[in-house]
Amino acid sequence: MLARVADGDAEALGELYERHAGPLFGFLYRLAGDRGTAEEILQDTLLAVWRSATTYQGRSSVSTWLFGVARRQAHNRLRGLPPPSAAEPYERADDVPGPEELAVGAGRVQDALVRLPLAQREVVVLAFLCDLGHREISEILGIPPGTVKSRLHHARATLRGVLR
Amino acid sequence: MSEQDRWPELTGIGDGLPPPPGREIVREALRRSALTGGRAPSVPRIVRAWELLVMEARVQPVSIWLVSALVMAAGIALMLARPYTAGPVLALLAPLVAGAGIAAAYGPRDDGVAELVAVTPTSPRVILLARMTLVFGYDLLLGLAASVLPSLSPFGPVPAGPFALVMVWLGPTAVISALSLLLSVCWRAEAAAGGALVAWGLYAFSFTGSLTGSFTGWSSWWPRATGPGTIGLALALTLAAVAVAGLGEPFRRPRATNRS
Repeated sequence: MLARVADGDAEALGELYERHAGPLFGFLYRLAGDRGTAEEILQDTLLAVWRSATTYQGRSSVSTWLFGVARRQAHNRLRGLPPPSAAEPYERADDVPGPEELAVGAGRVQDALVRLPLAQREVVVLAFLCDLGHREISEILGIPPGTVKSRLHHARATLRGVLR
Repeated sequence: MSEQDRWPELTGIGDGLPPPPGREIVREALRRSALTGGRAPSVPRIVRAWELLVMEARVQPVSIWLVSALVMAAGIALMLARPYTAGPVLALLAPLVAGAGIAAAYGPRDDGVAELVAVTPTSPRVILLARMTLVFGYDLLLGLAASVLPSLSPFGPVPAGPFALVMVWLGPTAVISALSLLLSVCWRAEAAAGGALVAWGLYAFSFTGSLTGSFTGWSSWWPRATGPGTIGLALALTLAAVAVAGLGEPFRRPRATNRS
């Protein structure tokens, strides 16, 4: 399908989008923190795919390549944005949290995610929302698997601090 | 136990995700692509270059092809009837035809597609090179045909072989064409045609000089044959034209913006 996109088949771009729209948009939504920005990045991604489909050489899966393109576009959009407002630590019901207390809702997760540095946020979202392994994440981000693990480690520490 | 199960902080990360936009976002991306310069075609460069040449050939005035062919055909007829004239006839005709053709191809005031070309993503330099390739290539083919055909003449032997004949006209043709191109880019088609005619006249005088013994000054420096000097001069003039073609508004056209 990507070969058809590379040949200039607009219909193939639509089919490619329908096949990968859910995971891509979810990734971008969690990365950007709001729907409008996520849609803008998604459109940037489609534009980049349309223009650079010829560069796909089949070394990675189409899905991995698409996430890589989306991630670059997200960086382009989000890099210049100011950091989120000062984090107000979430209050907890008691000092000894049980699993229920830690099981925060989707909105609270989103609020916590946007407070992560972008490099950590993308690793967390790819790992836990897109359910990708360390090797796939390292391909998408162009970093060693060890760096993926260390970013996850730091992300968890940051999340705990935010959600404390 | 999955990794997410060991991260209770992220429980619910997949909940509450809005649905992705519909397919209209693809149309919007394609529209942006068209408005911002389109996509890089996936066809090989050589095919793209060929397509550009074909498209440029369509917008060139038919008269360029027709007049060049007619003039060269007249020369060929003369050479067939008088084979011994092949050298001088080709040496004089080929530069004239090419110089005039180049002037007409790039720079006429009534260039109907100039405005359209100006807003396309293809750079003016590429357009210039495409047109020059077309016209000069066409004139080269005519010259090559005219260099070969005299040997078929039933009226006698040709004083030189086809290769020697080509060497007689190729260098001067390249120089005069390049000069015409530069004048056409910098100024206008009429000036280019005039400049080419003047250069051709000096060139023709150099022949007269060598034949009569006068004007030896001209013939001593004027690039009369194909060699490193003539080809180098032609290349320099062509590079200058290509460089100028991408700089601002051409002198020949009314300015699109007011001077402040």
